[in-house]
Amino acid sequence: MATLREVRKRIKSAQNIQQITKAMKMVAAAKLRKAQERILHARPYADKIREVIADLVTKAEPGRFPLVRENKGVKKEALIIITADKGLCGSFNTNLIKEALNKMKDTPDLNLFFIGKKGMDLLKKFGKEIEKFKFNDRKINWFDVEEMADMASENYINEKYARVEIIYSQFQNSLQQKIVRKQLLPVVFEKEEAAVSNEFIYEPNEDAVLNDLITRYVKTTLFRAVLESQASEHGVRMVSMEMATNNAGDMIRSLTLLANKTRQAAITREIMEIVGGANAIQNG
Amino acid sequence: MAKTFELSIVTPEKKVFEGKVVSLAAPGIEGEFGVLAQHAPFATVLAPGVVDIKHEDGRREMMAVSGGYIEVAAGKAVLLVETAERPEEIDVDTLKRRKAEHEKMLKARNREDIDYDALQAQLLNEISRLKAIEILEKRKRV
Repeated sequence: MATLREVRKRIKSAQNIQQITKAMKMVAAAKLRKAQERILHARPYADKIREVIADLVTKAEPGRFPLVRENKGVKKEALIIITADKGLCGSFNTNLIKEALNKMKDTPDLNLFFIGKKGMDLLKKFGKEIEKFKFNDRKINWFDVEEMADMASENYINEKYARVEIIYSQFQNSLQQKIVRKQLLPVVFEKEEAAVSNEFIYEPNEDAVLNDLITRYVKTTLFRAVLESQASEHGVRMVSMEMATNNAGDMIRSLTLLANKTRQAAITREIMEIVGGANAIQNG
Repeated sequence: MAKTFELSIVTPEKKVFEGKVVSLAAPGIEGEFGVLAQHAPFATVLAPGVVDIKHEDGRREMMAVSGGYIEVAAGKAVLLVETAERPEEIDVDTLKRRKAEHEKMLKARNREDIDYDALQAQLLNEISRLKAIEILEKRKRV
């Protein structure tokens, strides 16, 4: 049986862990709120672009734009994997990586782009060509995403890739996320009800403007994926830290019980020894 | 009273402005243009520069924007830009200092712990904002 001192030491360390997990949970909750706000703020921009493009899609033929056109005869594909930078968020990264591994199995000729350190750490040993890596922290902004999107688009236009996909975690609520694999290039439009079609004057010309818009659409899609994945990450971390805190609490409770029993046993033993000693003196 | 139209300026990070304005001047990729109420449907790509807004009450406001897209249709103008900042939001001195710093770091290129691509992107951003400020200053003097 453990000595009293050992048990107390374990209680202490469980308490320390509980403090840390509790703090991490609160930090994650605050970050989650911020990440959600960012998603909300990004929405008008994304919606507007989608709206404009939905209008165009009704009349445009796909062959006109390099980012919509399919690259036939090209085998190589690219994958953008958006994970977290840090661990301690349950199965968040593992699930994303599982999905990525599935894709790797299907497509041997694959270039990888990473946003988030964990994905890079876990997947680099598979020997795929790594094109680009970015940290996925709260400082990541439009420019970082833009750079990556530009790079992928450029390679696509130069017919290096047949397809570019992204894997990320879609935020549903703080308890639920969904792993999503989405095709980024060639751009596929979700058909929406045709918007009111205005006869626009395009400057310098229609193709240039629409091309620019499609590029923007690609960037927005990627940016949105990054924001979603951040919100998911913090959501998952919040939940898993909550669980860790609860577990630590359970552990402290059972250890305290054990400590009390041990103490009780020690006292009982001592009393018995004293009584035994006293009896021995009396009888002697 | 002058006729107004709806204007909204949105960036991927937030909605910067939404409201009724009398006129708008923006830097198109083929030169600056103005928009008044009842403008014909129009769409173009924007270059980095300064957007000049005239409010209903005659107040003028300028904003530094990076490139983007503008669409004018049916009494509404929508500006989709990557960044839009009011001059008072930009700290010129800090910006200049940061620009110089980044330029130096970029030239050196001798450290492994620095993400040079990110640096380059930041630098471009700083340059375009400084340029916008410059234009703003010039306008004020006129």
